[in-house]
Amino acid sequence: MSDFLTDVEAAIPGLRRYALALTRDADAADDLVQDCLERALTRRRLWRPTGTVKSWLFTILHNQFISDRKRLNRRVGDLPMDDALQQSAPDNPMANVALAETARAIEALSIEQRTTLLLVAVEGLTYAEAAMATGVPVGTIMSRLARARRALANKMEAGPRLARVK
Amino acid sequence: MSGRNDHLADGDTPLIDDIDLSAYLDGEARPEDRRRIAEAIESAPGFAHQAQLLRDADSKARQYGDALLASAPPARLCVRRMAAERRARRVRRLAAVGVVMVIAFLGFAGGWMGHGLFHQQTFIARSFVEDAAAAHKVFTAETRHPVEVTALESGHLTAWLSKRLNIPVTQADLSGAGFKFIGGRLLSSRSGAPAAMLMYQDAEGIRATLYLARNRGTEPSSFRFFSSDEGRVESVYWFDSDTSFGLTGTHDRETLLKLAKGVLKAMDGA
Repeated sequence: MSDFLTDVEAAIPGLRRYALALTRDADAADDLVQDCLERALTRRRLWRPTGTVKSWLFTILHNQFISDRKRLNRRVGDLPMDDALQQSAPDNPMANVALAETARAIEALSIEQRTTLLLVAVEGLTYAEAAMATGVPVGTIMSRLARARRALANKMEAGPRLARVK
Repeated sequence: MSGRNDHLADGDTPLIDDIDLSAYLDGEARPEDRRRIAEAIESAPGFAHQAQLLRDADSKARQYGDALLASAPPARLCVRRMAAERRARRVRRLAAVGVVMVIAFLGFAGGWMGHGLFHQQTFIARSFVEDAAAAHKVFTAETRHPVEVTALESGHLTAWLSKRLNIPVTQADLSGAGFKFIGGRLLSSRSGAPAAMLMYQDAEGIRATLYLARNRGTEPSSFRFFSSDEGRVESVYWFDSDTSFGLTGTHDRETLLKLAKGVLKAMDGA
């Protein structure tokens, strides 16, 4: 049973990172992670080792985020997701220009593309795990991921330079 | 936005797109696509370049992620402490449930025992008054030997009965109510303990009997009535801490109650 806690502990940095990318607010992100951990402990008995604890936790976190967002939208009116996020001042820790550029590029992605990119490229989830976490088919993960990478690659290629005229 | 960023290569090079490349880089391309993608990358340097760009995008994303995670996790995200608190809460909750269950059990057991006790009390009292009524019917019917020891030897009678029943038996003077003491006898009772009967009769020769036994655990009570023989025979019965009393006759309840009060008064005086 303590193996379970060890696995959960190991996943916390990734969960926080993902939560930060979702909420772009340090307190909101840690609230989200705390809710996720509470929920995981409550459902601990329900967890069957069919996948990894980590991907299970990401699934919980993602669902928590979605339901929080629905609640928030109900409260502040029917704001689209990204607008709702923009309302919290981006807590931008990007010190240097290149990183700031990257941050802008990533934050410009749609929420679906951004979360998929983070789950696979940053958190190392498999396509199947990312599909489970976000509740979409694997094919959707594949296309979101490709688009996210392409968009980012294009921005990076363009860099801080002026957009190339074709 | 088409979504599919196709990379057309020269000649007969197979067609692959960003999805193919991206999945291939992750080792997640479908088995049937793998060979086609690998061949395409090998055949055209443009594909390898595109693959490199997508890989760079990943490393940018990781840099972004690392930069996001600048601070150490706050104490509230310590999952071990959360688990420990949760355990403590569960223990407290279980303890509370346990306390409630014990209280419920005690209440139930108490109620059951009380119920049993009540039942038992009622049963004993009822047996007693039935014995009193039965004795009354048997012995008042006797004309020649209604009593074993007559009123002439009342001193001896009460001393003897007191000794046998191990309670003070006094011969109450009920002449105020118009009843004359005629004597008494020793009896057995349903419980196997000895009982005594004192007999009185009114001016018309109608008899009333006072049945006595040692009280074995019935709560002291005030007067209660018991009818038998379809209401022809009435009994007034009561209990004090030592003695069970059953006064029976064919008189009305008011008369019997008056006699009972006379007995009670005599007992208090004794």
